Amino acid sequence: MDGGQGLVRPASTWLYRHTTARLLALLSLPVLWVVVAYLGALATMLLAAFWTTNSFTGAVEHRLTLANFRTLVEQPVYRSVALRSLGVAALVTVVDVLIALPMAYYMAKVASPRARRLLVVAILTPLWASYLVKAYAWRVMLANGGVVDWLLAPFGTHGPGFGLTATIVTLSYLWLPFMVLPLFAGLERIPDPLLEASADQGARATRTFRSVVLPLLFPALVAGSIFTFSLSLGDYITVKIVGGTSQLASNVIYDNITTGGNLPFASAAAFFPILVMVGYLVAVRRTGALKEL
Amino acid sequence: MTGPVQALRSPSGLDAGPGVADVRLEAVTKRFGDVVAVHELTLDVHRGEFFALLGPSGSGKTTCLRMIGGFERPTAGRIWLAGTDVTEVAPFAREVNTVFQDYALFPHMTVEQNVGYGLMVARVPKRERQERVEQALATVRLNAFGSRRPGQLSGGQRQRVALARALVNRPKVLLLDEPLGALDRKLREQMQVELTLLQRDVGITFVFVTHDQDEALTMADRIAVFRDGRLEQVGTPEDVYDRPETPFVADFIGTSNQAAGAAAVAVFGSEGHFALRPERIRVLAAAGAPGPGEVAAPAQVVDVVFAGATVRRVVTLDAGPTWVVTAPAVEAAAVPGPRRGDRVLLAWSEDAVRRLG
Repeated sequence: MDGGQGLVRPASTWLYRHTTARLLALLSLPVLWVVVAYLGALATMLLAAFWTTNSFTGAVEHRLTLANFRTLVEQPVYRSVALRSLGVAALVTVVDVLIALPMAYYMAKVASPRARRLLVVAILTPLWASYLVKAYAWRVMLANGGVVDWLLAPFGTHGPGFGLTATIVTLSYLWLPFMVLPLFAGLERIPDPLLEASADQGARATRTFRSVVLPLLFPALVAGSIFTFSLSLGDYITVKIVGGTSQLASNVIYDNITTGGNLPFASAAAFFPILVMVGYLVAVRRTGALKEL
Repeated sequence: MTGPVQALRSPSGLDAGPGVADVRLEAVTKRFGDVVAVHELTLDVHRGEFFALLGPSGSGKTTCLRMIGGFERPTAGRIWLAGTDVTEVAPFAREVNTVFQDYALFPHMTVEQNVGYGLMVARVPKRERQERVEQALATVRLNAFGSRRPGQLSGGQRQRVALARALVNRPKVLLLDEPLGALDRKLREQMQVELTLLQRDVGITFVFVTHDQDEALTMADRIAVFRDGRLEQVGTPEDVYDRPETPFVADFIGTSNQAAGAAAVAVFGSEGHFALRPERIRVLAAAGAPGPGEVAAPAQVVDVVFAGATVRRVVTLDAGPTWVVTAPAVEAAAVPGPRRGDRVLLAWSEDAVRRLG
């Protein structure tokens, strides 16, 4: 048995017999990358949050302290920045859900297979364009006398100008594909006969949506909202481009690294989005809706 | 069994009289793009009837059922339910319920919630809802499974949940789309009997789609045979089996030995199209003599197949056609019958021959 084949392909045969070696060959490189590069950098950053800087020289002092966190909690400006960031991220998520749901429903349940493929491509294409280009495009559109003003002029009103509203609009646009795609996949997984069965049982569209589609779509909604929420929470460029003077949580991190030169304080500020996302995931888990996955 | 069944009885079933049309399709046509799925089809299903739509896949039977349920809109023609034109009525407003092919149970709900869904939608008070759900589950003998999820049930149990969910609403008509298709053979035969008994008890009109002719023959009061979107024949199981009207029906329901043209002249002594059931033919020794009133034809045995209850012989008639003859296996065991290659004489009574045209 192991004569002919074993002589021809000794390496393959050896790997076939040694399951552990096979796994090592497959996974060692990615595991190395994850442990050293990814977790290593994360751990260093989290550790840095407990360091401090010398107020005269600006050099990092490797002495454990909670001073950074105390500043973050006690200074009212950081609290309002945190709440503002949460609000923006939540609103972006809500706007994206409202826009993405009908789109995804049309793609998954109404469109012909051909139109469906084209729509998926159309949803994915903007992701190929540079983030900066898209943000600046919105800056042009939202500028004083820009396209948005011109469109709203017949209704006797004008665009929001640069500020938080513009930030929410732009972020909603930027992260929309990350909501459409999970919802599309989730809707596609709901068999059509389930919707027909609901109608057969006397349910109108709204009832079917509430009692059948929404519960089955919940995991997809969670997946999409994790994208839109965390991406919004981590964004500091869009708000600089269209946000006017508004500051969000990630600007605190960014400014402390670049202009402030206070890496420990920036690291401490980075705890905020991490804790929010962990809290969100725990809350979602509590609902038990992910058990059906 | 009487208690829960009484509760499920449709009000319209009580004053049921024979000959009342519960479902009527009037010159119904359904096109999907260029494809004509159903062609000017007219059909009456009587009140309280167990009615089968039988045909090969793509013959339009499922489309017909979906049009009765309201899931497809006919391109032309009218659909009537209990005397009301429902052609433009949405599925949620029709007094019919459907047992879907793969049951379409809601995976995120328990069995009780599944069965109670229609009652919840109709805002039936909670206490009445609970009672009716319990009764419906009792009818299908699933009381103990109310708190389970569909994913924790076997195929047969899911089928019964789907049945309970449909019956609990006391529909005028119950539609069943290949209800037993996903079950294994043993369970299917058992469910055939159960469904027939259930239908007789609740007295609701059942319309069911199947491609399995055995299923249609065993369960249905009447059968509509579909082919390419048209009706070939409508009749009782005896009608379609013993008195097929077209070559297609003769061939699709059971097995038929058919002869047309020159072969018909040679075997049956006349032009035309003839059909003869395999079990109506006797196999005699080559030198045997046919009984009184019997017709005989010489043939040669090509193959002998033992199929448990029956023995099937493939024979080639000297006149040309190749036929199948079946005989009960008991008889075959007692007297070793003709083997492959033997010359035989086939004999059949003249009234067994069906002239199709």
